[in-house]
Amino acid sequence: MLSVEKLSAGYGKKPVLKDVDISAMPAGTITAFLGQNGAGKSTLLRSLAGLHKAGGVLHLDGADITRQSPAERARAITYMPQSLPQRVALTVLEATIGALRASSRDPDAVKRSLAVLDRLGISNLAMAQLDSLSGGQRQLASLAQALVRKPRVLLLDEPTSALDVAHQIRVMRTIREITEEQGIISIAVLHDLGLACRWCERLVLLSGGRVVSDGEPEVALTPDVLNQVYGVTGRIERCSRGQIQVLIDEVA
Amino acid sequence: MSIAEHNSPVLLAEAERAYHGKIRVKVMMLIILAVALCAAAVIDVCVGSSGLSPSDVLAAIFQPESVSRGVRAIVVDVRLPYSLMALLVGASLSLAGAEMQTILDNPLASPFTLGVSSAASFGAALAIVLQLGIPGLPAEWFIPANAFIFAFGSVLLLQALSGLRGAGVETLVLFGIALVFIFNALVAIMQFVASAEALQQLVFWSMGSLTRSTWTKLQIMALVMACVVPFSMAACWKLTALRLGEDRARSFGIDVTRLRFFSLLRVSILAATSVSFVGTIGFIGLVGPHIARLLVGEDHRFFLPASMLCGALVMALASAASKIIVPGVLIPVGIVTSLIGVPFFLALIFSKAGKS
Repeated sequence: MLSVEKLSAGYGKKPVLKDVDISAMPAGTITAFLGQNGAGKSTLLRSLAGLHKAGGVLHLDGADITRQSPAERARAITYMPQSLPQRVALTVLEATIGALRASSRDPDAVKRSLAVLDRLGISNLAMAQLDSLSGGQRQLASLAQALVRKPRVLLLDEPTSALDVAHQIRVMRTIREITEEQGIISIAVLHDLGLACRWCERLVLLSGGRVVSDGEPEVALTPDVLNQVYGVTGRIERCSRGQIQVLIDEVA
Repeated sequence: MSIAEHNSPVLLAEAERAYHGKIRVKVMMLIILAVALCAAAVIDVCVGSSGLSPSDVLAAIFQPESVSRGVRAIVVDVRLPYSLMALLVGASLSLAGAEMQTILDNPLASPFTLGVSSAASFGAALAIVLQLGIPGLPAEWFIPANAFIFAFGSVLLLQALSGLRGAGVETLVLFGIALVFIFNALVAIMQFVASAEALQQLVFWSMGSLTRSTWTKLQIMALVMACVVPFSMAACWKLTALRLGEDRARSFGIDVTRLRFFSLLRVSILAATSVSFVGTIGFIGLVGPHIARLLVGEDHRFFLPASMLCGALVMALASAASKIIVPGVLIPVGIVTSLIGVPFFLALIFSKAGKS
């Protein structure tokens, strides 16, 4: 279980997050952070990863991880940025082994990395150069670098940005399956409300650095919340298959 | 790409074999580079203006009593130190360039991007033009000592400035460029006030030359390499992880600020020592790592040694060419490195582009 208490963060003297509280996020679930650009989603995610200085308390399985060293925190939490850098002369397998060996001397690094690539269905790309991959393949290669470290908490910063619809579904389905299978606490910053409702157990909507709404998709997402967070009028309806649909009518 | 499609253990075993096969290819590449380097070094030692045959040269090295004192002096006191210094300086500058390109995430970075050579030139200019040096030090050590102090000091200044504001990579590079312009301006002032003789000496120093090599300097250079290289190799996994992005590396538990600080410290020691002994040789630190990257990729277990070997190889070839191009004249090696390295570099780029 991961929970956040009174988390505050900013850039210089400009506050971005103000006393953010998020109750326990259990293992095996995905929580989506949603909100407009500049709402503080990515800052919140980076603060959880220890990449951004923040005040407050973060409890992971009862322990306050803000008191841990960056290396200790990194053993439990792994952050996956939006994309892999360009012009990197490494193969998918070399990059995955590199992610594991960065802070451990695992003698089985090759086998363990290959097992993760296999689990993600990309072991056929093990010897491919990172720069030769398509967008979807790159995201899965990036996910492999995070998963090979066996994290308790997986933080994903816009994992589906710049992907076509089919790859968005494939990447989110993979994250869903791995999260349940390995009992990971996954947290993703997302912009697509439809994807968030379909693949995440819980939505946390932020506006102006504060949590506006928090809960299961059908509870957290209402027309009033849409208006408050995004400044749009819209409807939340279920389709013929029972999935939640967000229909935007107008920009307020 | 669906994760439902798990591959069989046979396919996984094949992938593992392919990986180990690729590792063997990289090891083989390092061996080939080392053999090419030995051949280039032998050629470098064998060529020169004194007209000695290769057999005379090899006899002077392996059976010194079988050759005259004059031949022994030419080979042991002149050619060997020049050639060995070429190898060490090439390896040192290229290793420094490789680490810089990784920690600054900038393929154009080299020890000279951050003003190291400009600072060294100013230190040398103070010694040459104003005869300023460390009191108590023999006068012949004024130039290398000043060059080292200013080169090393420029990187420490850079560290301090970037540390004050918690600056990122871009700021560090910008500070470096600012230092280049400041020190170049100071060197220009020195040139303006210098006598004709001092001006000539300063210009010659800034071209980079192996003629300043001595066994003492060679021993110092070798000691520096022996002390620095193990630390570079110890950081190879962290440097590889840094290529996956700074945020990602931090989330792996790597203290990137500390990694960058110690890497810059190593770069400054390597570059400052090299520049202080042979003057400005700018091209090696840029092209050595690029050739290595094309040959073995960026797994730093192989990339760092390959960079050293490539840098040393280009320097050895440049050193030999500097003695051959104009018979009887030793052209400063700093001029020749670009002439030798660029065609080699372009050939590799075009061959890679052709394959892809």
